[in-house]
Amino acid sequence: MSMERKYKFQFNELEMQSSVTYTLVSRFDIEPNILKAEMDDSGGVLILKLKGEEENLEKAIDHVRSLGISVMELSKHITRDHDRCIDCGSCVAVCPSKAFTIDRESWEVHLNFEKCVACGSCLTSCPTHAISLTI
Amino acid sequence: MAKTVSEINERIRSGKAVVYTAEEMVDIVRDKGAEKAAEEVDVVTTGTFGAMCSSGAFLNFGHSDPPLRMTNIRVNGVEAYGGLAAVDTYIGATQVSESDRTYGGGFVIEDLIAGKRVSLEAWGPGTDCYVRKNIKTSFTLDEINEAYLFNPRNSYQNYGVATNNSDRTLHTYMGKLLPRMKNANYSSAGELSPLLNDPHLETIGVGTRIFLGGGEGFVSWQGTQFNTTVPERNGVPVGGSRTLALIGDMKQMSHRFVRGLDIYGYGISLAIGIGIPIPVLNADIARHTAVSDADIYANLTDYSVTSRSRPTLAQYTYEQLKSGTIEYDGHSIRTSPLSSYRNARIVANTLKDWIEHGEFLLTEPVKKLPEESSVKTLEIRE
Repeated sequence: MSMERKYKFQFNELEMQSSVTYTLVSRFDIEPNILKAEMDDSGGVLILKLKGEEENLEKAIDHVRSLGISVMELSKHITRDHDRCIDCGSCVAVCPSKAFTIDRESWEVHLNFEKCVACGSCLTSCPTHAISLTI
Repeated sequence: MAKTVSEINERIRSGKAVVYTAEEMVDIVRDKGAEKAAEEVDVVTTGTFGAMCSSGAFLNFGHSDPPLRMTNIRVNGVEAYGGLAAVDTYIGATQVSESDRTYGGGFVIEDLIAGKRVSLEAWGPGTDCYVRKNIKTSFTLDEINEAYLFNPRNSYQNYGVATNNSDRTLHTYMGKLLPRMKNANYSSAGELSPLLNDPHLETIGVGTRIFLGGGEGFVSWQGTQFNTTVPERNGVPVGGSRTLALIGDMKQMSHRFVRGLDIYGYGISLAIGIGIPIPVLNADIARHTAVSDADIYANLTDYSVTSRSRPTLAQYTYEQLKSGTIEYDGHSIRTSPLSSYRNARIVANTLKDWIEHGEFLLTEPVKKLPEESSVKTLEIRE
C-alpha cells in the first residue's frame, strides 16, 4: 500500500557525504520531497516527506539508520493545548507551511498536522504557551 | 424619535430590550436605514479581547498578627508595588518574574482569577506600629480583602499594523515579524471594537458600566495617551487614538476572559475581554454602530524603524486585513490578528445575553471624556 510519511534525519559531519535521497529513489522506489534542509560544519537536519510502498518505506528507513543517521518520524510533533489557546491567530502568518489557518467564519484557529514541517516558527509567536514542540 | 437611557433601562428591566452586536448591526442599518434601526434597536454590544499591557490589580492582603508594613512584596515571585499603605499593593501586568522570564504579573492576575493559590513573600522595615519584618505565606483571591483590576490604558480606539522591512526577524509587542515584510500583524477587533462604534464618545464616559474580564466593570477615566487628533476616514480614526481607564472587581471575573501573555522578546502582558454597551439613542448613534470592517482603515508601519514615529507605508481596511493577505508594492503580505476575534464575539454576545435577560443595565456618563486631547512626547534634556 502506497503511503506518505514525514521524517526528520539528523546527520553529523561524518555522514554528510552519503547520497541519502538518491538511494531512497534508486534502491527503494521512494518519492522524497525535501521540506527543510539545514547543513553546517557540524552536520545537519533534513525534514522530508517520503512517498512509497509501506514495505519499501520501512526498508529504506532501516537502511538510512544503518548509515548512522538518526531518523525520527514526524507525526503530531507540534501540540496545541486547547485550554491555553485563545484563538488569537498570532501563529498563522508566521507558519511557512500554512499548517495554522483561521476559519474566517468562526475565527477559530486550526492546525493541520499534514502540512506541519515541525520548523518551530510558531513557538515564539504564541503568547499563551499553548504550542509545544516535542522533538 | 430620540430615546433616553432610562427608557432603554425600563425595556431591559421588563425583558423587552432589542439588543444586537455591533457585527449584526452592520446589516440591520444597511437593510433598514439608520432612522428605522434607531427606532427598533435599543442597545448595540461591542467586544474586544487582546493584549492590554497597561493593566494591573490593586490587592489588599489583610493584616497578619503581629502586622507587617510591606515595602518589598513578591507574589508568586513577581514584584508588586511596596509604596502604598501597609498591606495594599498594585501588581502590574508586565512585571516579569525574577526567576522565570515566561511568567509575570499578567499570569499572577490570571492565576488569582482562576482560583489558584499563589505565594506571598514580603519584607518591611519593622516599626513601632508594625513590628513584623517579614512574612512568607500564600493566599487565594477569596482569602484577601479587595482585589480589583485598575487599568490605566485599555481598549484602544483602532491601532496600527506592524510589518518588518529589515533582514532579521523582530520580536515585538506586535508579535513576531518576519524579515522583508513576509507578514503583518494587526490588533484591533475592527467593526466589533468598542470605541470604533462610538467614535466621538457620545455615549461612553466616566461611570459607564461595561463587561470587564467576565464581570461588571466601569470606565473610570480617559485612558493614558488619550488622543483626539488622529485623522479620520469614514468618521473613524485611522490609528490609535482614544483609550479608556477601566476598573472592575476581580472576584467577579473569569480567567476565560483574563489571560496572561508571554510575548516572546517583548515580555509579559495581559489579554482582557472588554465589552461596552452602546445605547442607541438616535439615528446618528445607530449609524456609528453600523461601521463595518470595510469602512475602518489602519496604517501599515515598519517596526524595523526604531524611532518614535514610524512612517506610514500604506493604509488598509479591516476587511482587507482580515482576509489573510494584503498587497504592498506588488507583493502579498500574510496577515495575523493578535487579538482574538472569536473571543471578542463571545464577549459581545455574553453582554448581549446579560442585557436581554435584564441582568445588566446601562448608565449615562457621570462626566464626558475630553473632546480635545493630544499626546505629548518626552524630551531628552541634560
